Amino acid sequence: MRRRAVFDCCKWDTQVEDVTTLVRFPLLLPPATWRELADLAEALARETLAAEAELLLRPDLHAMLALPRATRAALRRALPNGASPGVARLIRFDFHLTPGGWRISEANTDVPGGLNEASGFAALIAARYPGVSTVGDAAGAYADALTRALPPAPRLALIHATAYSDDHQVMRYLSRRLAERGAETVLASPAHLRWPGGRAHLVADWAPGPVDALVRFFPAEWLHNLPRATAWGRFFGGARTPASNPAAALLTQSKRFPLVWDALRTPLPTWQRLLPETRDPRDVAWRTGDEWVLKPALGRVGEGIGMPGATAPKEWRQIRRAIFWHGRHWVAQRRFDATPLDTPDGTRFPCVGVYTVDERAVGAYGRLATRPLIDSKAQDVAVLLEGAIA
Amino acid sequence: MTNEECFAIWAPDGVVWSQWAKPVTFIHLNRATVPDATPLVWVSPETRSVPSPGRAALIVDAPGPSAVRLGIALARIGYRPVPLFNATTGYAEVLDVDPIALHLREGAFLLQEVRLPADAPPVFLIDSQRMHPPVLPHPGKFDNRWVTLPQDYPSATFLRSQGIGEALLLRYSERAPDQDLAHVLRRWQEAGIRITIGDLKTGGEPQHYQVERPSLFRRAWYRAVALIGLRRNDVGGFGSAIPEESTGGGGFGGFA
Repeated sequence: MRRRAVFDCCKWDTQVEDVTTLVRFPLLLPPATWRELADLAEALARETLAAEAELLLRPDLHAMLALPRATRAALRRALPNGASPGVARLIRFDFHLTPGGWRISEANTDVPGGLNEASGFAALIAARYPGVSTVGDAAGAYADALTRALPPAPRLALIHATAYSDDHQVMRYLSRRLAERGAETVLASPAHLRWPGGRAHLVADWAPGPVDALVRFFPAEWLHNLPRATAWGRFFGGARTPASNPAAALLTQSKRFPLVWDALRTPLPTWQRLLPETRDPRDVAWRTGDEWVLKPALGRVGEGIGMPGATAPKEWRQIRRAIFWHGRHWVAQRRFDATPLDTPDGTRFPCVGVYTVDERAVGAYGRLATRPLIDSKAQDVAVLLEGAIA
Repeated sequence: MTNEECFAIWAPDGVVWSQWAKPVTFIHLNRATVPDATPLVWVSPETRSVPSPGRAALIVDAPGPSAVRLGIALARIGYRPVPLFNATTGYAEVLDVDPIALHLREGAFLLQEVRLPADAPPVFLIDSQRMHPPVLPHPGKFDNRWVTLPQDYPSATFLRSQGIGEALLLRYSERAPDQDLAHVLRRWQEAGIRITIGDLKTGGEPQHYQVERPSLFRRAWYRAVALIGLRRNDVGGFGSAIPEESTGGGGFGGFA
């Protein structure tokens, strides 16, 4: 199974220290549960995109989101003519099971990963269990949405950290799925882009020239580290080539997004119902008790998260120090009780990341953890449906 | 031999160390060709001072093809080679992966002939040029430099559970190990694994080595910083983009 995942699904990071990342059994959902999660994710996606559009016009709130200064400036410059265009918007909402029902811990609105596992690995596991089906083919739906929105046989640049094999594997897999649909893909880094007349051109030695669209798997908050010659600001504004996702997604990717809700006109009832109370850590007594989970505003894959009892003491001290000096870059989220499941490997905490493409639920990325914290040591589990999709 | 068959030889089922083998290089093995059909050389006299398999795990930090060659030589004396090469592949690569791929493919035939016990101690193979390509990269190239990370290796707890209490680093250089590898070794050292270094050039007896605390050691965000090169001085500007050369100061420009 591991070799099938490696060679068929470009799943190359199958081991993290002592943890084998692929779980050999599936996480089975009743169809009604999947429908509930899909409906919630679609409602969240609608609210997210509406809030993002409003936030674009509210530069006064961008500092509150802990966006880098250069990024805020790029967003301000985008204001007069609007943000750079998007296409096939992909989001993943991470759901956790609690005694009170499903809750979300965060949304990956900028560069959600896990497509290889959600589509490829889930299909491999599903083939071993008669009478079950996958909840959807997220990568296929994403590739469909991209190719439908572009001219026939489009040329796409898949922009990512080329040196980072964990990201490269996602782009390799997506490239394969796009090629099945007649698209030409070029795997490149953001430093390979130039923007004559606002149109994205590759300056890669092996594949120069314009592209019809960009698929970005490079976090938007890292863009400002690029050389000035790359005109990285075009990811935020002034581009004529559409991107998936547009860099303005960073506005809702920030875990401090809930701190500006009161200043927005956009109603966010689903977010408010599902996300635990979220505060500026400087405003709550997180040092005493274990009610709060500390998260970096722009953290990824669970890195830097502080959870009393789950985070190692040394790491907890580092987080305390970081918040003391840079509290405005952190957020405190009220801790919720996650419900563990009994599995063949013992007790595990599940997380179901539901993907939406253009506000439609298309699949899920499952993870299991030995503690109520999903990070790089969580295992990947196929999310399958009991019975066929109705 | 297919790519998958080759990987199965280097990371066979039922061998405890196989799970750490990195598959990335094996994905495109069939891309590599021998330009002049020159037979590969598999002689490795440098390993004469390596102790017989016992309580030590080895790390070979040598130029990629040499690391593979040494891995086969060490397999012949009872170590299980575990390739940890993690360079991606593309056109116009900064690091040429093909010579490593060629050696892995040819080495698989030799490895097949070696009957290693399932509990043979590991020798982890990494490319010493992972962050030091022979030619300075320039914009337009495909940046596939890479770093090795603590999570790419078993923990000290796991090593001890397999009866391993020592890690021997084999290399051709007298310099201190690179920062990324120092993070791995220091973790092991703090957990009670004895670290020794053997110089492959001189073939002298391995010496005890005290690993100094590297920058950002055990920081929760070390991985992200190391991978994306936000700290250009720590990891030499490694990251997604090949920065343009700075007009002022050394190293790379462009990064904040």
